[in-house]
Amino acid sequence: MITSIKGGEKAIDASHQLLSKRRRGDPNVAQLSVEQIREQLSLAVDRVMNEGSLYDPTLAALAIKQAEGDLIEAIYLLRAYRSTIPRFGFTLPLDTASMIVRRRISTTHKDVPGGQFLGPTYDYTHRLIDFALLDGCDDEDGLPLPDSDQVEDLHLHHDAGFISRTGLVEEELPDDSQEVADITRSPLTFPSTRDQRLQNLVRGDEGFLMALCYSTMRGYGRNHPYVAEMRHGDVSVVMEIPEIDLEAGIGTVQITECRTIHLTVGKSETPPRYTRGYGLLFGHSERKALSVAVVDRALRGAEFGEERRYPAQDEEFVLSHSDSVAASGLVQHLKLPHYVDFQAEQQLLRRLREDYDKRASEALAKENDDA
Amino acid sequence: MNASVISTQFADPIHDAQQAFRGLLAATSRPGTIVTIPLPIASPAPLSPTLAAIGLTLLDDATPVWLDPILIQEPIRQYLLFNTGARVVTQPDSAAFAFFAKARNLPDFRVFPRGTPSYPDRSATLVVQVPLLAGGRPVSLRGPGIESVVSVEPAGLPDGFWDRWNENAANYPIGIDMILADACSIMSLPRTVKASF
Amino acid sequence: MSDTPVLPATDCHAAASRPQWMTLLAETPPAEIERHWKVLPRPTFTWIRRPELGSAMVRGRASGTGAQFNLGDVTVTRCTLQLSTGEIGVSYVMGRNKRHAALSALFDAMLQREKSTGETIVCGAIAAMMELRDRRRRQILDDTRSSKVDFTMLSPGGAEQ
Repeated sequence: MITSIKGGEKAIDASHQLLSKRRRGDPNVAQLSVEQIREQLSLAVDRVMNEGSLYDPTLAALAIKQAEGDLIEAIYLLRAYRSTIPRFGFTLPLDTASMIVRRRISTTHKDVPGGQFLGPTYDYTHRLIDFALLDGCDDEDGLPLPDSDQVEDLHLHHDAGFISRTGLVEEELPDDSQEVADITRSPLTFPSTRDQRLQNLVRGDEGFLMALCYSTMRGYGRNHPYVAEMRHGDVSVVMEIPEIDLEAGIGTVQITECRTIHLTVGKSETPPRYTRGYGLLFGHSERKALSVAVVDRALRGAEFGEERRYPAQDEEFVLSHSDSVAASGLVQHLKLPHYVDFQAEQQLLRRLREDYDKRASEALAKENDDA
Repeated sequence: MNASVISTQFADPIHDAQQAFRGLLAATSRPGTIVTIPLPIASPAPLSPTLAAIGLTLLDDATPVWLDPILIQEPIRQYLLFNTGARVVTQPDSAAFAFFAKARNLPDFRVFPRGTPSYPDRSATLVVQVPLLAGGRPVSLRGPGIESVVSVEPAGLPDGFWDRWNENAANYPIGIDMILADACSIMSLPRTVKASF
Repeated sequence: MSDTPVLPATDCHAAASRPQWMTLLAETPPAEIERHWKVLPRPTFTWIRRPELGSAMVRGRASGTGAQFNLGDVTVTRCTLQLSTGEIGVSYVMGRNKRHAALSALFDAMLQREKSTGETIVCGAIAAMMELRDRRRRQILDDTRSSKVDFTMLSPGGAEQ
């Protein structure tokens, strides 16, 4: 039972002041600007935008500053903000094949048409602390890359074109007959649909989803993935402008897209083949995109007649516990006063103890009698 | 797009809509009370300024709206879309709101969503223009928000209206809600209200 | 402006349709639009809808090609205005910059006006913005190309395959 309590207003005000003081840190150190966070901590910004479910790098950076770098708190701030602004509409589906590519790799085909481009990645770094960054000596680091004289766009088609032609890979065709579920407006229902799941997973906590992905790879749900393609870059956001009934771009977003394929034996009436998992995220978020793709595939088990045995395959378990804002809310409420609940429980405990003592003394008496 | 149609908002869009919302809230919490609300500068005929004010206040992109045969006109569709983001639907059973220029056009209430026992909120609100909220046949209303009984006399309601209303109220918590509007005021009939006459 | 390419009126206006220039204005940094605005003759206009902030839900397709789903919102600022000559300018631009939305709607209206008068002042600014956008894209792609990788597989003996 929730009971309200009063009091503590002055203490709460003082607590807020202490928070501001700590957020500022040592006043002799220059204050962080939101622009610095946006430009120099961009991967943290990307995580906050995904799980906060709002693409706005400056606001996400501000939330990170306000939350002193606690990303889950920053995500909460962004979600709360989003709920205060009206929604003008829905965009057309992103055309990820037309991406201005910053990075693109395939782990299944070394000669993927269009080529592979490492772009900015930590994959091939030595994971040694770079002490040059300590003194701000990195400014000169970026060697200017030569301008190429190539002018044509780098339009890289999806892998679909060539591996699908083999007939061994599930083809995903556009189906616009169904209304698209929106879990920000109508709550999740079970059994869930794939659109509900993909939206839920983008908003889900990266650590939770990575652990689930990891669990499937360690044997808690056999589902071995190959990364058919991982790409990152800029895509136009196109919307139907209601006033004039025309479709126009409203800006560009950076996104990360991960397409996995998984060997699936399937039901007896369908041929064995590769089926797909998919992760589409804002910003540069490869670890999360990969985790989402593998969990997406794990949750498609029912489509392929797979037994549901492990946590990553259980949609109610995964989708109901993926959201860090919901989880953090319930977990952290444990810090709020529970005086009445506790009193009630203590009364229960005393009664249980009295019963126990009574039974114990009766048993003792019986033992003595028997003896 | 025609600017004369789309520019007829409230004079002070934020504050007028807030005041109108407060008025709708007061009217709904005290069923049978006549409440005046701020009106927009103009509205595309035959959508009355009062109906327009209710639309500007309550509609958004998540509230599909159904228009009766008099109101279903392109300028009104554009007006609602531009100012509120609400889409006009042709199927009454997918509407969150339904607007009527004449109470005589009221069909069987059951063609609109009436919610389910688990989700009674997934039901429609009917917004109905009447000539005047006074001067009609007197009816006594009872229910939550009414101390004992309140007498109302909205004009222009079709024959048998109050029998149909009581049928709607009898199915509580399932049912539709209604807002009656004349040239400058509104009266709310939530589904909790029962009429005797 | 010295860097504005001078094109014959017909070519300039043929180079971009209304959705194309609206897209371009939304993708152009506000400071760049401002730079062109400073040297343009000021039109008179009235607001139909002052710049207001909201969001749009971005959609994707499963595996890039399949059924649609909702990815997440982006912040959007929009406005509508009307020139004294009658043209209605509309803008929807990502972000929370009201000035960006206002200037985009003004340019949208002025470009419609120019289409009927045959002038090319605003159209020239659009051509310059287009050039700049192409340059930005080329820069990204040049960076990407610099990290092109050719993986080769080694046979057990060590020879390349």
